[in-house]
Parts: sequence; C-alpha cells; structure tokens
Amino acid sequence: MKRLTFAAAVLCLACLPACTGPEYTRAADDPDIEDPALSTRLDRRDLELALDAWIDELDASAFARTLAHKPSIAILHVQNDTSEHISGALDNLLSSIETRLVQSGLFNVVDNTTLTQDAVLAERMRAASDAVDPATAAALGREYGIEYLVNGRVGDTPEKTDDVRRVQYYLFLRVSDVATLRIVHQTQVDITKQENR
Amino acid sequence: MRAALLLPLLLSPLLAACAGPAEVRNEPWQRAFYRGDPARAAAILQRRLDAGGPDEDVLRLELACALLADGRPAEAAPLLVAADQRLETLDYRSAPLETLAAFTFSLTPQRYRATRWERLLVNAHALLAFLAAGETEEAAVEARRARVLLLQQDLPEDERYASVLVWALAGVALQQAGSPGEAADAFRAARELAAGDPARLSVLDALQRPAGPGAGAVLLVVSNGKSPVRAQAIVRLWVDDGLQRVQYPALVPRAGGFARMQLWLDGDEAPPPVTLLDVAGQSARRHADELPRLLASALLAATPRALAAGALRDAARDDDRPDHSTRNILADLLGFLGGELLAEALPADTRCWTLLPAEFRVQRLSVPAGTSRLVLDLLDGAGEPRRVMWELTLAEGELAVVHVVTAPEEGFEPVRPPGEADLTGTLAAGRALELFELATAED
Repeated sequence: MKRLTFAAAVLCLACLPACTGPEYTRAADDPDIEDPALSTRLDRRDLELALDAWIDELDASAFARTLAHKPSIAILHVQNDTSEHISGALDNLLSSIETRLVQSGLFNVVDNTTLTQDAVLAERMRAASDAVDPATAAALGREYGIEYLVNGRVGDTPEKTDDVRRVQYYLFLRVSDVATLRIVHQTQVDITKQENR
Repeated sequence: MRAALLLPLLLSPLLAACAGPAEVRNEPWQRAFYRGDPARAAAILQRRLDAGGPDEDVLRLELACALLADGRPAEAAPLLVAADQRLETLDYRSAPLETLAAFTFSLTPQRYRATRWERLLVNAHALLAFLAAGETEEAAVEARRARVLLLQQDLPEDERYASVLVWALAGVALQQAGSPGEAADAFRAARELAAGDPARLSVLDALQRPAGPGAGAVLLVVSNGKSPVRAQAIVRLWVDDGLQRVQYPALVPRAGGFARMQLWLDGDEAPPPVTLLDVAGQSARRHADELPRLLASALLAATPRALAAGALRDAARDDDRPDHSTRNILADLLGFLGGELLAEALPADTRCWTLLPAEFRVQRLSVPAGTSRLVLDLLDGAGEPRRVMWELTLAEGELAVVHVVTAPEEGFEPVRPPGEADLTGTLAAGRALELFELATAED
C-alpha cells in the first residue's frame, strides 16, 4: 500500500510541469525579449528604425532648416502595398511620427481625427494616400489651415522557397506642401525580414 | 514474454479509442451547420478552439467557414490570417513514406498538417472574407500572399483551376485597392490558365471590366455543395504471401449542391455564376494520386504490429507438433485475431477541412448606382429549389460582395465510410507494394 502511495505521488509530481501553462516576461525585466524577430511582419524595432531615419533626415533637411514660421501639418496614411498584414503597425508608425513632430516643436500638428470627421474629406484622403489631388489639397488648406501633409507607402519584394520566406520592405515617408502639391521631403527606409522553416 | 507481447496488443485498441475518429468528433457542430444554424456551429467550434489541442489549426479553418456562412466575414478574416501564419503542410505526393506514416497513423494526436491544396484555399477564403468585409487593403495583402504561394509552388497541372479562382479574386482585390498594374497581372495569369474555356473567360472579362459612369458592381460568389471528406476505411492487401488488413483515410463524396443557377437583376435575366473552382473534382483526382503512397505508408505503419501478431502466433505454436494439431491451429487463430485486432487498433488520421464547398461559382454584374434587386435561383439540387434575394444600394464605383453558402440548408448526413475492400491486383495496390518494398529494403 505504501509503495502504491509513493508511486502515485511520484506520478503526480512528474505530471506537474505539464500543468504549469505558459510563462510571461516583462521587457523591463528582460530587455533581450525585444530583440528576436518573431515573424516577417514589422515589429517595434523595425518601426523605430524607420522613425529614427525619417526624423534624422527631416531634421537635417533644407526644408526643416528653412522653415520661417511654425506651419501646421497633418499626418494622413501610409498605404500598405505589401504581402503582409501590417496596417496596424503602420498606424502605430503614424502615431509615433505624430508624437515626434509634436515634441520637436517645429510644427503645429493637426489632430487627424478632426479631418476624418469630415466623411467626404476622409474618403478623399483614403483614396489619395499616395498623392493628394488638388481638390482635396484646397479643402485641407482652406477649411483646416493645413500647410503640410505627411503620408507614404510601403511596398515589398516577397520571395519564398520550401524552407525560407524573405520579405524586403521599402518604406517611403514624405512631406508634401498642400498649396503646391510639391514633395518637400522624402525618406526611404529598407527593412528585410526572413522566416526560416 | 507472452504477457509482454500481449500488453501492447491490448493497449493499442484502448489508445486508439481515446481520441475517436475525426468524423465522430466533428458531428455536433456539423449537425448544427448543415441543419441551417452556422451561428451555433461557430459557437461550438469557438469553444473547441478555446480548449486548444492538436486540432486547433483545422478547427480555425472550420470556424472561419462557419462565420462566412453566417455572414460574418470581418470575424472570419483574422482567423484565416492566423491560420495562414500557423498552418503546417504535408505534401502527400512527395513527403517520405516514414513521415506520412508517422503523421497519418500516429496513436498520439498530432498537430494538424494541411495538404498543399488546403493551404492555397486558406488564401482564397481570406481574400473573399476581406473583400466581403469591405477591407480592400487587407484583401490586396492576401492577393499578394496568394501570388507568392502560386509563383513559388510551380503548380502541377491539376491544381491550375484552383489558381484561376485565386488569381481572379486577387485581380478584383488589387483593382479595388487601387493597384491596377498588379490587378492586370493577376487577371492575365487567370486568363492564361482558363484559355480555351469560354465560360471562364467571359467571367474573367466581367470581373476585370471597370464599372462604367453612374454604375457600381456586384461580385457574387457561390460556395455550392459539400466537398468530399476523409473517413476511416479498411482494405486488404496481399503482402509477402500473407493477407494484411490496414486502415487508411478514404475520400468519401457527399451529396448536395445545386447543378443549375439562374441570376436576375431588377427582373432581367443576367449571366449565371460560372464554376471557377471544382473542389470536389480536384480532391478526387488528388486522392487518386495520393492513394498508392497512403497505402504504402499504412503498410509501413502496420509493420511492427504485423510482426507482433506473428510473434504472438509463434509464441503460441509448438513446432514439435504437426501444423494441424489443436495447439498450432489455435496459435494460427491467435495470430490471425491479433492481426485483426491490430488493424482496428491503427486508425488513420481522417482530419480535413470539411466545410469546404464542392465548388465555387463566380459572377460579376454591373449595376446602376442606386438600389437594385438581385435574385439567385438555385435549381436542380437534391431537395427543393431555393431562391435568395438581395436589395443592394450602391454608390457609383462601389463594389458589393455577395457570398452565398448553400450547404447550411442541405441537411446533415453522417459520413458513411466505404465498405472493406480487397485492393490486391489494382494499380494503386501494385504501386503501393513497390513503394513499400522500396522503403523496407532501404532499412
């Protein structure tokens, strides 16, 4: 009987590890968890790289250096022309751009939720994410006092073999002058992610 | 020694009974789905999915189909994206026999591994779900994902009709997302694959044609009937002068669907939807191709058990006595019964994506901006004809996606596996024995 009880106890102990479930880690405690790429999509590190590149180039650009006053700027949309579902990541990138522009003090940043409340304008901007048409530009300038727009697009070259899937991203972020529709600043950031099976 | 042999023999059927065949496990939600309640089927599937386990990946596909049939494409789309990320595939036509045997005849539940065919259909469904949900940018992403898959896979001839549907839907998605160049490439690829088939070519023309001034468009996709599914079956084969009984996953066709469809727009007859993908036909052809390898892997998986049955018989025999002695006759009988027991104890994995339709029919109609009435008559089915109607209000240039799934109204019928058959002498069995001998000779 004692042996049976002992065997049952050993069996229960052996089974315990299987019942513990997943473990969770906080990046503040273990910063290394931020490092590995877990998919071919864009993660925070990729977005930070893109944002840093854009801000650095913008700061150093002739456009930023020659700004005579504090113009108003609105952040619109980054068109996802890739084979990856990264729209959420791109929305986060836009919010990060907005944050940095506000913190830079160089621009009056117009809250783009104000723009999207105008359904007609929102639809025009959604459709014209890569190039704003003159009518939309005029509406932005006249009705909302916006002088500059930030928008962009991201494309990719995806390739796949039986064991490897590689995605090369090309991220373009630009600032356009609403009055002239001229691109006053543009940055290209290249990011490559690979999945090995 | 004898007890040591008997123990695994007794345990095998018990282990096999633990999980139960997939068709039995699936019955509760299939009953709900095919009796016209896809919402209930989705709820059952969600509970099963939440519980986790090795069926998780295939349950996600089934749940997505149930949600699509319930008119909830926005909920189905992320599930299909998740399935696309997670799904493991197993190519039944090229994987080593040992791998096939280890997966198909494992006694412990394995994580689901889809066929290449199912993998491609994940993208097709995701495309459809995003289009129906009005999320054109995400639909375009799926179109590009499908393109990567199609271009990488170097498609065999019999998979090409599948890609007509995928390329066509990709073309629509890319067109809607404002990528006309990519859309034109997709339609061109679809057209090349449909060359010589006027009906398919006319649908492709309609799909690509831009809406005229003052007009919108309706994309109609009909998921018609029920795809064939896998079920447990037993076959007999002569191997090395002995009859072996093995289980294998047979493909069982299911009745249903409507042979003829008529489409009406504002009272006028419109071109009917055309089959862009014959799921049932392709599944049957694919299964016929896979059968020799499936049988060979079944034999391979059964080898240790056949040896155990032989050892059981040898252990019971007394070689000093004649063959016709009572003891040796009983020993032979024991070996035979052991083999029979083992055949029952080695069930094949019959999991598959069961909520796929037998075919996809597609049509696109140009409609004047404003309100239009669309009527689809489903005719020549097993039951009563059905009429489905929509009142659509479209703005100029707008595309409405209408997805009809016929199966939920067609009733539930349990899958009936084919009876036991002796395949000895058939081409498939001959090829299976060659493959089996090759695999065992290598060992």
